Amino acid sequence: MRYNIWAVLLLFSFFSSFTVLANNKPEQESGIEFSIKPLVCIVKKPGDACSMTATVSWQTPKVINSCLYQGITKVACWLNQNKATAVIEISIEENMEYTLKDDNHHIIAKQLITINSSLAKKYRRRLRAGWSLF
Amino acid sequence: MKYLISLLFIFSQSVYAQCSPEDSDCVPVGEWQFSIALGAGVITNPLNGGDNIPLVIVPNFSYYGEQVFIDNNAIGFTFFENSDLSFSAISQINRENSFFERWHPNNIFVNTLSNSIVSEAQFDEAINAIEGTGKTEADIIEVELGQIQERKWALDAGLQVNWFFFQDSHFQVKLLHNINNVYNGLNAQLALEQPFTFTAIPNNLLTLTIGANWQSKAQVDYYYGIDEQDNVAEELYYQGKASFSPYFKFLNQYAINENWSLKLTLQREWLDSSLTNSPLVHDDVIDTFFVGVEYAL
Repeated sequence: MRYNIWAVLLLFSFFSSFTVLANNKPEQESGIEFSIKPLVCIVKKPGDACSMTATVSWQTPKVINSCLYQGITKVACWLNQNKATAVIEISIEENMEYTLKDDNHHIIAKQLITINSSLAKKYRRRLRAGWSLF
Repeated sequence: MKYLISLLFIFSQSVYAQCSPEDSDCVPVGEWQFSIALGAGVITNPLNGGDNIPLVIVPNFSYYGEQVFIDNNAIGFTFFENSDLSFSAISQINRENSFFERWHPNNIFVNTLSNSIVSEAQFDEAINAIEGTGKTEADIIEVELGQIQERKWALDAGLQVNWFFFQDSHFQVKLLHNINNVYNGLNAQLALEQPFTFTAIPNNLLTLTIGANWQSKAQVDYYYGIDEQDNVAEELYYQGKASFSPYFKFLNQYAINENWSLKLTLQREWLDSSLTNSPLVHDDVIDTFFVGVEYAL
């Protein structure tokens, strides 16, 4: 009976460690390092489309099959690799999330590319009473 | 004048104050804003024989640079601005001549049908003739617009101060002097504007304004005075005094979507006795009414 209690505690601690892992981010769960550089795409004025060349790199503890997605569009895939570096052309009109997925289409890492304008729109107050002929 | 220009450039080093794009009176710097309102309305004409000004198509345009601005009939240069105060040198077309001249830029969109419609003043005269007015002989001595020498339209220039305070309250003062040698006097305009929004009607903006128009003796005399240059009997000569005419304005705007909105505006200006005592003036108020839709480009 005493051994049974220890066995239950052991089993409990074993499964609870899985629960902790399941709550972690994809990168932490799989131990993957994922980066895209640069993370910000600069345009002249708000609303302009953005094009740039970016470097994607990732590394995992074990060999995997994976694909990189821009939103829902597949950009590149790698077979039986535990690390990779690729240069990709990015063309986006709004902030875009890039995701790395495994064989089962699970997201194992993600990164957001944002668009910033170098000339942010400025505003000022109108200096006359609204909608009057005089 | 030389010192004034120097002063403007000294003060103009200050940067302009940014505002929140969500605010109704906030416009993007460096972009033209155009809108056109289509509906039904009128500005009443207080002069004997003067046509009311129908409002059918009302254009509205503005451009605000970092310091220069054009806003309908006014052009200005803001030489100091912070979050509460703004000082601008402005030039604008004087309103008074719109009651005397049919070809005034503000009358471009007059509905041609209105020429066949009896003016309010003429209508009142006809009713009075039928019913009897009870006025004394002196009261019914009037001068028609067609009898007097043509008035010219005036261009004014001067200082405009805007004060933004409390919750979106806006107080505006303009002190202007005639610059095209028409009446060679001053006028001033005061306006206190308060917008209201209601949580139950989120797309609605109600703006109430109280204000006053002050005209110097020179301006009143030029437009409303009568002398030997006018083709009337000497008994009808009139010399004006400075006038102070308060007004109240109600403006309601309901945004249907980003481009379209419904507009309703009502305004009444109570004319000073120095204006209403002129034999040229028939009414003691100027009313403005417009209801319609507006499309913003």
